[in-house]
Amino acid sequence: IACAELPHKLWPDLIVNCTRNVINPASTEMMKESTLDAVGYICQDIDPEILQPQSNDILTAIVHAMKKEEPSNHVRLAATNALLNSLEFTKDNFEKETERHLIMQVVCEATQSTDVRVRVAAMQCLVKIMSLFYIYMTHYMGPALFAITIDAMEHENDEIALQGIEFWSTVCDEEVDLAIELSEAAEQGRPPERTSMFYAKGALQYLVPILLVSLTKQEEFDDDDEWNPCKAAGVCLMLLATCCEDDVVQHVLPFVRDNIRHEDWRYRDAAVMAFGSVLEGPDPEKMKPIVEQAMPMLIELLKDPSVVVRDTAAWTVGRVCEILPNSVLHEACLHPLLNALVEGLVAEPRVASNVCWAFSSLAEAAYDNAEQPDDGSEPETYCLSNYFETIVERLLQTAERTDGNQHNLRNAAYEALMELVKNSPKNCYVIVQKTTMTILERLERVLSMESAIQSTNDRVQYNDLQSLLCATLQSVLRKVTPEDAPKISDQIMTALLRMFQSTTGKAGGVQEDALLAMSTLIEVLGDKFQKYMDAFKPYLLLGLKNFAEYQVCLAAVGIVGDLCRALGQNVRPHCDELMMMLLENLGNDSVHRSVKPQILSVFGDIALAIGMNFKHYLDVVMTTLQQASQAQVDKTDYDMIDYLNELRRGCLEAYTGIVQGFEGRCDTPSSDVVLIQPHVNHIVSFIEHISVDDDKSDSNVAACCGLIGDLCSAFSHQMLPMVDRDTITNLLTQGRRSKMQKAKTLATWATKEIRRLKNATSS
Amino acid sequence: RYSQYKMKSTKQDQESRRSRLLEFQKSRRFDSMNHVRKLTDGNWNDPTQE
Repeated sequence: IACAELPHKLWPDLIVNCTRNVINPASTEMMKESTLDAVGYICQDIDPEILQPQSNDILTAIVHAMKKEEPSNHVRLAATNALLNSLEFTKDNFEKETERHLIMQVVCEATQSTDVRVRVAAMQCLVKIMSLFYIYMTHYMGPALFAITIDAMEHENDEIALQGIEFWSTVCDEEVDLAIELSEAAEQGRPPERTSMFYAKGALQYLVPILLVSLTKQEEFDDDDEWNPCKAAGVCLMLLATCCEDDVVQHVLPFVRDNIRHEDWRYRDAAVMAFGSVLEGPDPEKMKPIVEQAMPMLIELLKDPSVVVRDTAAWTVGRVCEILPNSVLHEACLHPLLNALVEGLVAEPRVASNVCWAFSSLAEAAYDNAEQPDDGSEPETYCLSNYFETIVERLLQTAERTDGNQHNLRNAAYEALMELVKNSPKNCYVIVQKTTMTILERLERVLSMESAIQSTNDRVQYNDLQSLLCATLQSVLRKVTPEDAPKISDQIMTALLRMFQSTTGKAGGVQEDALLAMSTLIEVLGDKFQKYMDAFKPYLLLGLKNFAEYQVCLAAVGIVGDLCRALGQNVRPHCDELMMMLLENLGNDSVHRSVKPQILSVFGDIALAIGMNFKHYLDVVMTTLQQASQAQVDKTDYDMIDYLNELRRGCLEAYTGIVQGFEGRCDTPSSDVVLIQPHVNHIVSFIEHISVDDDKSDSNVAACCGLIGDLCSAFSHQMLPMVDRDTITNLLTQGRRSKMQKAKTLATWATKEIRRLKNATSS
Repeated sequence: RYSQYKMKSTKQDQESRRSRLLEFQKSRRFDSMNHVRKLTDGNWNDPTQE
């Protein structure tokens, strides 16, 4: 009720009454506890700004009830939980030294309570305080927090130990962020706003031994979903490696060496886990020889008698392949590794799933390492070519395992397959072709199974499988040559249309993946897609109408753009219908905002495709663009800044498509360009508006420069007074100096266009 | 935190596939526009060629 009423300034005496109840010596234990519970719930759910004016009173009451003098643990627990929920709005109090001292004192005292629940809640407060108020912790770290948290990490109670570990994981998160802030500040030539105190680095020698002991504390049948100190220690070690980089290695390697052959599987597992956790962070050059030396042992451990060790070994191999692939991409290691990985695909789902991930990373790294032709085409061959067929076959088999629904195995197998296909060189093309046919067969088989679905669980799995098959189809299609694409397009269209018709095709995820596959088909077929338009259009329109599942709508909008590029003028007969739906979506508040910038860009695609035939839509589109280009957002919200940039990009691309389309392609100028004339002033002031915005994106600078050039070529010398302004000149300079190649190219081109006009006028 | 335990990155989940396709589309749009500006390599005489 408070959360409903307080924002409307109703119930003004609530907080006063609550705090009075807590502080009043005559209040019963039950009264205090219930009141603090209520305060805690209110603080948890309400917008912090609403309670800000009363934050002092709330905090005073909470701190009063948290003190060690409070005889009731129930009251102390309720107060500590309330503090945990109110920390978000105590920034002002933390800034004042005396108030900060008092809060820290009561929290630290509460961590020493004999009541485990109070202790855990107080530790949770410390974790949150560390993440919210890192910069104020200097005074407390050495004398108090270090000892409290180390003690907690070693505590026999798992809940307390978890909070101790979490404290240091949070320190790592903060210090990694601070390192990023520092490098960004250095790049911009200014001092950072906050600096790291390197607490993690300083504590490394004390933390690592405790974490390594925690890693050994597990049982074979521990619940997968249960969060325990062993798992938390693995994550904390990983974060320490990211945060402290090289320094972590010396503390971990002796443990790995001493325990990797230990007779107790728990120690073997801890050793592998520790090794896998520190692969990322330290200098790759330093890690490479260490990993090379460890690989034979890791490969051996893929067959360890313990499934837990096999799983961790497979995860570690997966991490090596992702983070340090050069340690394994040489013949001496590759052959035994690939053999072991192929064998690993038939292991338990949790192990096999990690193996699939290793294949994904290897494929990408091998492709990146291949000899790249100068003309930008695909490499002829790469180091996996000889193994490619076997790996693909085994992944296809793995994807069909009856236990594929466990540990995400089926997804992992198809994802690895997609990654292999995506990163395949020319001499593997025959296998890619063969895979295309296998995927199509599977898709057809799956479609014919729909009537057999009974349970909801079956339905979920069936939908997932269709999505995966569509996604795999998409990845093989992207590799198919323009000559081969028409040979299989009938079969692909039949399958995709059948999917749209089926009940499954109505499920958002499946519909989206089918549209994404369609998008790729349109791209590879080009104008040969024309013959499918009548059959496909009803489903495209359904997609455009599916704004409840906005990702589907977004995919459909994207396809309209694809069709414009593929069909050119031939898209014209469909334009009235498509434009109507796009405009409707744009004006519809129920359509997710992320769809709207894409719709604007697609207006540009349509204009570019149909040229002056776009004039039927010109008035309404120009009015829409004028509105969209004046949009304003809350600049304190980073997401909204990104959104504004996307929206502007949409406007810029729409204007560009229209100007280019009306100007006429290449050497056939159109007289209709005058229809845009009345809008040029607004377009230029829109560009100027963007140019002075400090938050503009590089791609918007590029798009602005491109549009300036287009306007100059369309309107010739008439543009000179409008572009000969400081804002435009500054924008072009920024573009030319940009790190983004696109911006450089377009700014240079636009500058030349302006110069050409100036020269023509002066001569 | 739980999601960070034995975390496996993926570049092929639906979210990644979705954003990759969007990037493809953006880049093809960019190419089409630069084609008109005669800023890309290729044959400029055939206006229908992408």
